[in-house]
Amino acid sequence: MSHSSENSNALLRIIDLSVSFGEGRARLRAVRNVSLDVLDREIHALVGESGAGKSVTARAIPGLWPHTAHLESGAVYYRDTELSSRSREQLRSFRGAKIGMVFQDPGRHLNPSLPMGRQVSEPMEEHLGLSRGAARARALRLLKLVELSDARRVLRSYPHELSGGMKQRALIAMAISCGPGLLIADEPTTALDATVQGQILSLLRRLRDQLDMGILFVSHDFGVVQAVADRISVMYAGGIVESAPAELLFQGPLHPYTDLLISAIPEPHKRGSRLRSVPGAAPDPRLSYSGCPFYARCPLARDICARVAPPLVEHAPGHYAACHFADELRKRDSVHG
Amino acid sequence: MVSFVARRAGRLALTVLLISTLVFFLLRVLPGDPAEVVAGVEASEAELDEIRTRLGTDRPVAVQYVNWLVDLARLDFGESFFSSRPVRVLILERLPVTLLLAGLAFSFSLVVAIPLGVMSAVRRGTLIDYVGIVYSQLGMAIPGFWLGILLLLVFSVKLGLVPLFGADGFAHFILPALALGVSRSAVLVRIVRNSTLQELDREYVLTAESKGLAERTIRYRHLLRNALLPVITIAGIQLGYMLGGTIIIEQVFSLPGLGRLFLSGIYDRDFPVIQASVIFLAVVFSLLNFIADVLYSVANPRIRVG
Repeated sequence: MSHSSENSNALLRIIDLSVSFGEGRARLRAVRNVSLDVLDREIHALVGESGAGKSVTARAIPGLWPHTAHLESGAVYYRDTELSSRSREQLRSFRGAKIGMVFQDPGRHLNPSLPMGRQVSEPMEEHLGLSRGAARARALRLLKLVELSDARRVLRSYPHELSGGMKQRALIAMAISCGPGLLIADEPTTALDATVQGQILSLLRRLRDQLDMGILFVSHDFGVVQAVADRISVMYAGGIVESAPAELLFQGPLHPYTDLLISAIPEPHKRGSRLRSVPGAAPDPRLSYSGCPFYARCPLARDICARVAPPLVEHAPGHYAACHFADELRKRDSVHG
Repeated sequence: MVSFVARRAGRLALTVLLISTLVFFLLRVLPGDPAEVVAGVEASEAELDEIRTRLGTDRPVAVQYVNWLVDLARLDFGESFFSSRPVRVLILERLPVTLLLAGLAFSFSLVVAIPLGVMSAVRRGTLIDYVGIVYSQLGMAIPGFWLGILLLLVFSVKLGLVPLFGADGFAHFILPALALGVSRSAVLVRIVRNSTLQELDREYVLTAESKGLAERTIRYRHLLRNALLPVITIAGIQLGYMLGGTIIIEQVFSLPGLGRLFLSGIYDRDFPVIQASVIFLAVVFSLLNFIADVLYSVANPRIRVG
């Protein structure tokens, strides 16, 4: 069921990951049998509504799931190393060193009482064994690399003295400071305004090229994803419903949910047209169901959808979708498009 | 910063004026004639009049008040009714004892409260957390004087480990500092624990984890710095309360400090001593708050006084 079997040299490989919160009747299945690969130098976007399980998946990679969560099944490989069987403490040498993380709302994710210089230098002292002075010198170069114009001043500043965009750049500098192979960016532009958003996206793309990183880019915003992703995986109710190279996905989505999301992207040249959204809500993650999780909201739903969950199937090279009627969507797309 | 200090100094002066006025008139309203205490019960009316004239208590209250204020402005606290020695000298003689006692008690309360509070929060629900909770509940419930008597009974009378009376060595201060410090540290444990719990949920802790920092580093470099911010302010107030607490503890342990001077001043209707002691406490309390505010602004880069 994984599209990844041929890419055994993937940078990151998640196989059949399931994560849940709580026990018994209150058990909440946040991530359900997710498999995905991030290749070297690939920007792989994980898209979905809030609550779809994107962030839990992303945080599970370096072992940072919330303390209340537990891993039900699955494996996570960083190159050849299996991560999910290791303890939080054992994964410490991966976090920051090989896997960097950038978060939403940079203001909250920076320590308000430590100068930026300290915060950016820290991982390099920890993982690369640099002295304070050497780490600081590198921190200055990193701040320049992320296009902070007054890097020397930023180094001395406290987070509250910087703008949102500057804080996010500094957070990115921190995350790439030890030259990680993988950068996990969890909604990195959501808290920023549109102009800054665009700058941060092109910065991430440029850093990917310069530093040879793969990026797992988590977002709820298809518009943002369109601007940045090489490959897109769409998550719905804890599982991946479609995964494809970005151009293929936008040309012809094979899952009705993706189709609806793409048509809901606001188009700047059509000002004044109504913003569309997908009506309805995702199923309660505490319930178990046998059919397709999208059944209740799906315009194409038929009887079989309520009974049988569609598997994730490769419909075209590299294009996977979990819908009984993916082929119908494909025919429609080839007629119209 | 300069205007901040000036503002606070003005507020301090106003506080002192208000408190001194209040104490002054309160003492005149309360029953009890200092002259009777000074002269003894068998003194004749003529003797009493003479003493009243000497002490100045025969003059109208308003005149006494103005005179006293004028002296106060020159930092002249007058002479004790009872011993005829300058009150300033009396206070300065006894100050070291009280400062040592309060300082020890304060250090003790911080040394106990900060690690215990932080560990309670970080290891929430484990044994150390219960130790912290029980300690803070008991410490707040047990009165200092009772604890003092208990400590004396156990460590001096039964075990003979520490001397019973006196103030001429460090050993004499251990038990009183404990008796005074426990209840204050009990309050601080709670505050440190709550504040640490709050900080544990902050997103910057997740960032620190995502950088692969060791748990110790996260705790001491990232968490503690933020968790202790509110503690600074409260610790300042606690130290002020502690100075007030010395009054009782010095009595229990027979330590010749400010507290006993104050208390005997009340027994003897020694107005100048009482007035000066109250003003002294008020000034120290205000200064401690001021210092705590300055420290807070130094520790918290988001606050700059000015």
